[in-house]
Amino acid sequence: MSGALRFLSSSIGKKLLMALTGCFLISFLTFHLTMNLFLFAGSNGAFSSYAEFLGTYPVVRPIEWILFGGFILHFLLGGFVWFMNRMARPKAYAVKGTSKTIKLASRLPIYTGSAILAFLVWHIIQFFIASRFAGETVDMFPLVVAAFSQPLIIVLYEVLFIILGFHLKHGFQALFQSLGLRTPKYRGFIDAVGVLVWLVIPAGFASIPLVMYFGGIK
Amino acid sequence: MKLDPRTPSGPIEKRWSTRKFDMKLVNPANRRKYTVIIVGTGLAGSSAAASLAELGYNVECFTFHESARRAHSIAAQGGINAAKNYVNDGDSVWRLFHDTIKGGDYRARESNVYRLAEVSGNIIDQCVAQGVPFAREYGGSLDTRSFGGAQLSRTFYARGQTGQQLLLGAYSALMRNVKNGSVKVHGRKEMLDIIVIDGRARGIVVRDLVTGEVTTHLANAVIMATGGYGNVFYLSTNAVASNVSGLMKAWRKGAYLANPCYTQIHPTCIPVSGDYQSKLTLMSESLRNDGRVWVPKKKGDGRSPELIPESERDYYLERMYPSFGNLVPRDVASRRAKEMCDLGLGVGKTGLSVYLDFGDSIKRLGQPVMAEKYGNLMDMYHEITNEDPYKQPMRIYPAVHYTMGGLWVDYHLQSSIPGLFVAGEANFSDHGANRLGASALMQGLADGYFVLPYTVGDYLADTKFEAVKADAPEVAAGAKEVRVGIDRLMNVNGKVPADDFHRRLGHVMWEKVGMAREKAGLETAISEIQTIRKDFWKDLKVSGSDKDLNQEVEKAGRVADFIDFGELLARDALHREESCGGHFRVEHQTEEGETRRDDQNYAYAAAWQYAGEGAAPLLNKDELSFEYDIPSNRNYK
Amino acid sequence: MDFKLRVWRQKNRGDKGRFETYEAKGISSEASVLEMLDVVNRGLVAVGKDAIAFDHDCREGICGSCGIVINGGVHGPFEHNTTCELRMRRFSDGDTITIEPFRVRAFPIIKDLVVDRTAFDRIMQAGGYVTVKTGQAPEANNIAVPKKIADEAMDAAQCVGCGACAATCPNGSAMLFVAAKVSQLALLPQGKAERKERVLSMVAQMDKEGFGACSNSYACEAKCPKSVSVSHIARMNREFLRAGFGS
Repeated sequence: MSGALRFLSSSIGKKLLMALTGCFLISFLTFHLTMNLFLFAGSNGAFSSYAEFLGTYPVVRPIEWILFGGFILHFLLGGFVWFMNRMARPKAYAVKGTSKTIKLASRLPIYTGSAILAFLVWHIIQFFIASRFAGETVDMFPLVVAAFSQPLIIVLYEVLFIILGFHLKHGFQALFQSLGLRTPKYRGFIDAVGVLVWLVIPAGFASIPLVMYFGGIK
Repeated sequence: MKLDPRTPSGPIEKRWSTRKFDMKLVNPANRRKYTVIIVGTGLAGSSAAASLAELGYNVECFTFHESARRAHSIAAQGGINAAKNYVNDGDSVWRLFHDTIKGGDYRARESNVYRLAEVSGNIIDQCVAQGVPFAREYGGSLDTRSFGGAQLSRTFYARGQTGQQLLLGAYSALMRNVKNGSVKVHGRKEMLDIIVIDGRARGIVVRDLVTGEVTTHLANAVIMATGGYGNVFYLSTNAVASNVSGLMKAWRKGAYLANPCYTQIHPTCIPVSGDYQSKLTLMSESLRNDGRVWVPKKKGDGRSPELIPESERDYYLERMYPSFGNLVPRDVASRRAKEMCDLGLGVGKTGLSVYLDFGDSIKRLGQPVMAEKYGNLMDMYHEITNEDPYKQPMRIYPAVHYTMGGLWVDYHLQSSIPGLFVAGEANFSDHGANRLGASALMQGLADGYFVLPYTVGDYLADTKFEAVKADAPEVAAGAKEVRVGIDRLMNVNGKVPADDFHRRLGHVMWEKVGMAREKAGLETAISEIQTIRKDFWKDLKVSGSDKDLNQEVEKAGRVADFIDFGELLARDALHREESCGGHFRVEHQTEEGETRRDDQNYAYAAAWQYAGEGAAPLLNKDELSFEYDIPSNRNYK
Repeated sequence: MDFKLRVWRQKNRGDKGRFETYEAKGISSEASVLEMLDVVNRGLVAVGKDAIAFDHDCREGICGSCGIVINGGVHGPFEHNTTCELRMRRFSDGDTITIEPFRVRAFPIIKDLVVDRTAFDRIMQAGGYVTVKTGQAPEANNIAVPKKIADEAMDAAQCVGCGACAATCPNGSAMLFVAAKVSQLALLPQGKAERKERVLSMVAQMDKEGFGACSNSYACEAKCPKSVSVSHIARMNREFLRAGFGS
């Protein structure tokens, strides 16, 4: 095995990759949210033009693949680490005691991550495939409005954003810990910025379907 | 047999370097052919193993612990002395030498002690280079403190965990040498005998504590670093598994045991609270700097301490020793505490403790300052006793802490069996009748890092070894003896667990062979110990099998040795008709109740020789002479 | 005090093991958990039964030998103590107390409550040292270490190697143990020369032993008898990154 591969396949190396892909995905989320916020500008706003631009401009294609790659790598690594970790503790303690809460906190990322993955598949089919492979340029705005007129879909999305919040809550500070940056000096700062990330990003996403459903967006 | 201590002559400051020059060397290419067995992985054992391995010898290390790092050196709190004179207070090798000789009440060999003082500085250098995180000044240089009543600041420390950090340093050196293949560490293996062939130590017999298997291991030299025997008193500050078996096995094979009666009692330990108790916890001596020791003046005063007015308290140390007060040496403080309790003035449920009161210091310095200085200890005390020492005085009582006696060794740390070396607390060499605070760590590491690597080499170079076959009669006999010994324990099949005998023995030792000893008491003790031995071999119960991990088998073997050793200790105490250091004979005291030495008749180390089962041991005298430090009397008034 | 104990009994590594119930009667509230087990064992031996095997030695919280899981909590249900330091008064009279061994793949059970933690020795062998031979050391005060750095190194160095971090970690990860040593030696000037090889080989050995990875739940820090901080894990991660990508 080459040095780089050995490095990356070690337990810390895998965590580093998790952190780096996580970092990349958080920046994607921020970008995605920024774009979505244009929905508030209404049907004549910039949202559709941006969507159209992203859907047609060739440079975006490779970036899309990188993004998919990031998601897949993040999830595969997460799954693999989770599996290895289970192997390292073959038998549970007979009395759960405090270990129960610890276990939950530690396993939360894989549970929430799996939920997010499932959602993503649906989300991609619902919007991405629907627009990109329709054979013609689709205006995204009505597509979104149509989707968020159904209460069930809204509920599903809202639940997912809560799950995303938990995932980010763990992931954001963990990413700094894995990169070795969560030192006592910066711990407070990282945790403060973390609130922005795990609360504000999901809340931003969550606001859109609700506002739309209750007619806030025309 | 005439004992030859092999001490060099000439000016004392040149003795060690001259001797080192005179020693024979083993050709580096040949070192790999020599195997050295080391029993025990504490400070002395680990440091010797690492150092000898670095020189190129093939080292085999044995410990009954799972890992070398669990050895009891880990628990030493206070610090390690070294004559570095970093604080410009006039320290020097000479002064450390003098303090150690005097502190040992003139019962140690001058040459050994001078060498110890001489290498003390190198130890600090070595440990720092290993990454031991000693306490530092703001400028980055090493910090020191004065310790145990010393008038100089020469104690280096790593918080209250100096022993831990030094041991981990030596352990890391050991692990490095395991990695490069020059040492093999055998964990969970207990040494149960020494193989002596043609008068030389050539190997050991061990029992695998997990499988019960008995195996033999051969070598060119054996080093024993098996620690002290404080647990002969059952309760001590030693770890539960610390034992005297290594020493006793060597003794029965012909090594002499020297000065077993020199036992150090530490004055500030958490008192015994019940029969279930398995050990005593030490509270660092530094507490006496800010605490005042007292008992109520009235016998059986059941009031809680805060209700006893000043006028009804007896600050007995301050009363008896106006200049040293609460800071009198360990033995004096311990003895006085026991006296007070024997007079019925003791406090606590059992009446076996005295108060160590921080009230005045808390008033003067405030609780935060006290917490900064002693927080760790205060919390530990609170956790163990459920009493808050900030609110009510601590209760303390003396406990056995360190044992100065051990296997007799010469200047080369070789016992009376050629090829058997003894290091650390297991030997008797450097502390005389009493050890200074923070000197135990120094001695263990001096032996391992800076003495044995030379002297073992000299022995190997100087000896013509006949090859020993694994099936030689002495080897087979050694293994057989051990198996027979184990079977004997298993087959008593009585009703009483080994622990009960140990507790009984401890009781006798503490009451009659403890802090204050007298002839009649010692004689009774010897006969009581003999009764315990008889009962042991009649009523012992070892449950389970000896073919797997069975801590009862381990315990039983250790207790059997403790019983034999306890008798030897009492005999030594009985024979030494003087008081010195950790040995106090009631018959030999000054009008003020202090120790009275008899330099005329007892300026020797008593080296006891095994004379067969049931026979009285033979006394050999290793005479001490003092050329540089003329014996004087201690006076702490 | 009286207790009902459910204790894990397992004859050897291959045995399946099971819980057995014992009565612990008339236990002093000042006794430690281990002293309670001593009392129970005394009773067992007297009637010819196999005593419960458990590791222990110093009984003052420093040797790192003891380590059992009590009511689901490593070293007991409370924080920052070793098993030998845990007194029975922290429990209530009549309690049922469940005692089991550490359950970590890298710590196989030897018997009853005794596990094999030699994996830690092998990790130390991989690089938990400064390469300096006896006698090679320079004068101690030639190596200045600022107090703050020395104190931080000492915080890490306090680790007693009991394995509570791995036993409490849902992933059976030994990151806190390994990080404590890596961090101590990375902080000190003496350890700098070998920092790169040290972190790479210690982590490789840790993985090889079968310990899990860190998932940043910080349960180890909460349980560590010496309160070793997870910030040392952060430092180890940094050391690792540096060793992998730095020059």
